[in-house]
Amino acid sequence: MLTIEHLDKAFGQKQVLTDINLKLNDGSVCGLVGINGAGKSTLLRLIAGVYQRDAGTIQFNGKDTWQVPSIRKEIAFVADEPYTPLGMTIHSMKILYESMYDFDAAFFESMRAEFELDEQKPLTQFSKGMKRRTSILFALSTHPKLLLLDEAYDGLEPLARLRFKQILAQRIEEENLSVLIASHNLRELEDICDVYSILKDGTIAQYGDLIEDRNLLKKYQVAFDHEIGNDLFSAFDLVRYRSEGRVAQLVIRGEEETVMEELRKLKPVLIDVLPVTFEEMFLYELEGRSESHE
Amino acid sequence: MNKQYFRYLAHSYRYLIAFFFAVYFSLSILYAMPSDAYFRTYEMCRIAGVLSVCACFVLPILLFTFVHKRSSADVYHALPISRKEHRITILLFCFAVIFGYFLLTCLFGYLFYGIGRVRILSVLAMLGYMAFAILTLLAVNSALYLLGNNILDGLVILAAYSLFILPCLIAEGVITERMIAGTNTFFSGSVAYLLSPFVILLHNFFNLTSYQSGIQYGFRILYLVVAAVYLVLGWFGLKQEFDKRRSERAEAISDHPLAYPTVINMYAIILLLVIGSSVVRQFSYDAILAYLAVLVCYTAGTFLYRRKIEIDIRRTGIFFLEAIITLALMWACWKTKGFGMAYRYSLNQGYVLTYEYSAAVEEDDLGKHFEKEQNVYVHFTLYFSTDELDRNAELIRLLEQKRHEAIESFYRKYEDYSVTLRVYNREKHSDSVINDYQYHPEVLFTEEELNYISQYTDVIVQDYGNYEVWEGNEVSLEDYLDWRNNKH
Repeated sequence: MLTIEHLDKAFGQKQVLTDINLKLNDGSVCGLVGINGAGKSTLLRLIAGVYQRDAGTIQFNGKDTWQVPSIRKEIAFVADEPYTPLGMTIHSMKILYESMYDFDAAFFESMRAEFELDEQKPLTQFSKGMKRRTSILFALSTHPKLLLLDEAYDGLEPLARLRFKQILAQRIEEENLSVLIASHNLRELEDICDVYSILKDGTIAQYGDLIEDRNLLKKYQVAFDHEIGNDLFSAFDLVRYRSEGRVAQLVIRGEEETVMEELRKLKPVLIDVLPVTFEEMFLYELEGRSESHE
Repeated sequence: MNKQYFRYLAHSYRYLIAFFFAVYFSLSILYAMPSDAYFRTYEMCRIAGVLSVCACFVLPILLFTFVHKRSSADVYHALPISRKEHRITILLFCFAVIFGYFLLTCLFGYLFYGIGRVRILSVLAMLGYMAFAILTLLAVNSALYLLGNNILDGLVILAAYSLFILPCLIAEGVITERMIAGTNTFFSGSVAYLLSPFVILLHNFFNLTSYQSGIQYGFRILYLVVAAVYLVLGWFGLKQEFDKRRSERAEAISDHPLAYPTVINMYAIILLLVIGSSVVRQFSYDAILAYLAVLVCYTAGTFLYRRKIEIDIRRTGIFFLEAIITLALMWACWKTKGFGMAYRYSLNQGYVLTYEYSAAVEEDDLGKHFEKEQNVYVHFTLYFSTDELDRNAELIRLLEQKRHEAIESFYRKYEDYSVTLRVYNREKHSDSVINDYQYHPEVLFTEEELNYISQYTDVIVQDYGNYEVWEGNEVSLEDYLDWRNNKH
């Protein structure tokens, strides 16, 4: 289990992460979302032991990822920018992974063939997608217990993306792999994540179970036979309100049945309920936060 | 040390290691072949030592470069080894490769050419010394390279620190010439040398590989002590810059206090000291241009490393402060007669004390600076055994009085006289010149004094315009005075 408590990180004078608290259970997949500069990559690098924290703790299976380097054998980090130094090939990169990790050479070879990656070709000559596939391949070949993915889908074509998801699902089921994915592609995250965390201005703005929270958040389209104002819905946990004449578009947090019951009491002529996507949840959260700041 | 990582480095760099070894070994042999068999071991070790010093710059750059790129730092800093293990493994790998080269070359040289000719003790001394030198240079060079935050800055900072000895040597020469009467050779580069670990380490190494005199000759303990200090500094510097490095520095501007801010200021200070010495010695309006030129370089340097153009009042203020302090320092140096160093000379050193006098003087008065076209040159050389200085006390007093007058006139006014009084000693073992002082006195030896000196040595008068009159163009003082009296 990954446990992060009261984590702080600053780059010089700039505070990047403040009092981050996060728990990720074994076999869980967490989507880490946030606008650019929110601190997603920094958080992943801190967990991977690349960056040193200023305060707080990061523990994986009870061991500090900075102070106990051996625990990093169980962690694989796929950075947003693949490592492709001049003259290096997959073969030479393999020497590093074979030396430092419990490297599954058989899995590596089979997947390399499947991903059509030339072992002797310099990495600098690879396309963006091939570089990304190479990084993911090396990460998966170490059989990590925790996989940290920074913009993992960036540059992957649909087929490779699908295959990657299949392997992830298999590893989660068979090896109890935990995954933390930072991405801007919320539709992709929605398919694979069970929990999510929204980072904003260096703090965790929201954290929860994706399915539960999506069920708690619904879009309601309500029509009345008279003009209305938002004061009518003051009893609801209103995330978003838009109205046009006698029709109101509402995003309300709460059990669907309870909300419907309360809405019916307002005697509308029509109520329509729509689910929200992860992307919409993220947008509402950001909008809500901006409005509350204003 | 982490064995797996060491094995990875050995495996990963195996072709490079083999290539370097081939170059290293063949260069050593090619360099040593023209020498006599007796000297070949030393020659091979000597060139191997120079190549080892070069490798101490190249290998740390190759192996620590990953910290300067974000993508490589992501991979290498996430490895399951501690920063300490990582650092020590890289250092030991570099050491093993470089010392391995040196060891093999030395052993080859000894086994094939040295047995029966070269003492095994001197080979062991070379090996021990080079082990220390390689470790010192690896620690220092790695720490310096890591002061930067990207590859280019790392290289520039390493080069700037390593080559700082050059401007220092030039400045030391210029400042001592301008500030210390007699062009005091009290330093003779030794202070500037202390700023460069590779120079002092090579200096002692060359003395170890000197086949004439063996271990004792010229091996400076001071250099060894300073090198040990460099080893400690380098070790702690590297620990600080690697173990406690904030990886987010990769690809950022190199604003570490010891990186560009220090490099730019130390080069500026050296230039300002030179300009300051010039201003104090003899002010000219060119000095203002020189100050402006350094300010432009200083500002450009700051722009380049910060990668943005902005007038920084604080930095400009620091520059002006440095200019004022260096000028004040040079002024104080001038007023205190080179901080007292103009008089800090010793007569009783080595085995011989020598005075050389050479002056362009008036034909009619050998004690006057020449003004007319008709001039002659007077010169003499006096040698004294340092064991018998007391026996020649009166003559030495006269010579020393002239030296004192020369020192006083140096600080009184700036004038370029065509007169040289050179005083120096010779070292017992090597016969090399030490305590070498050259003065350009305002007050010359009078004819009476020259007559007195001529009792001890030949005082020669040269007149290039009187070939027909004299035999050759040189006559003794006595003959010259006779010739002049007859002429009149």
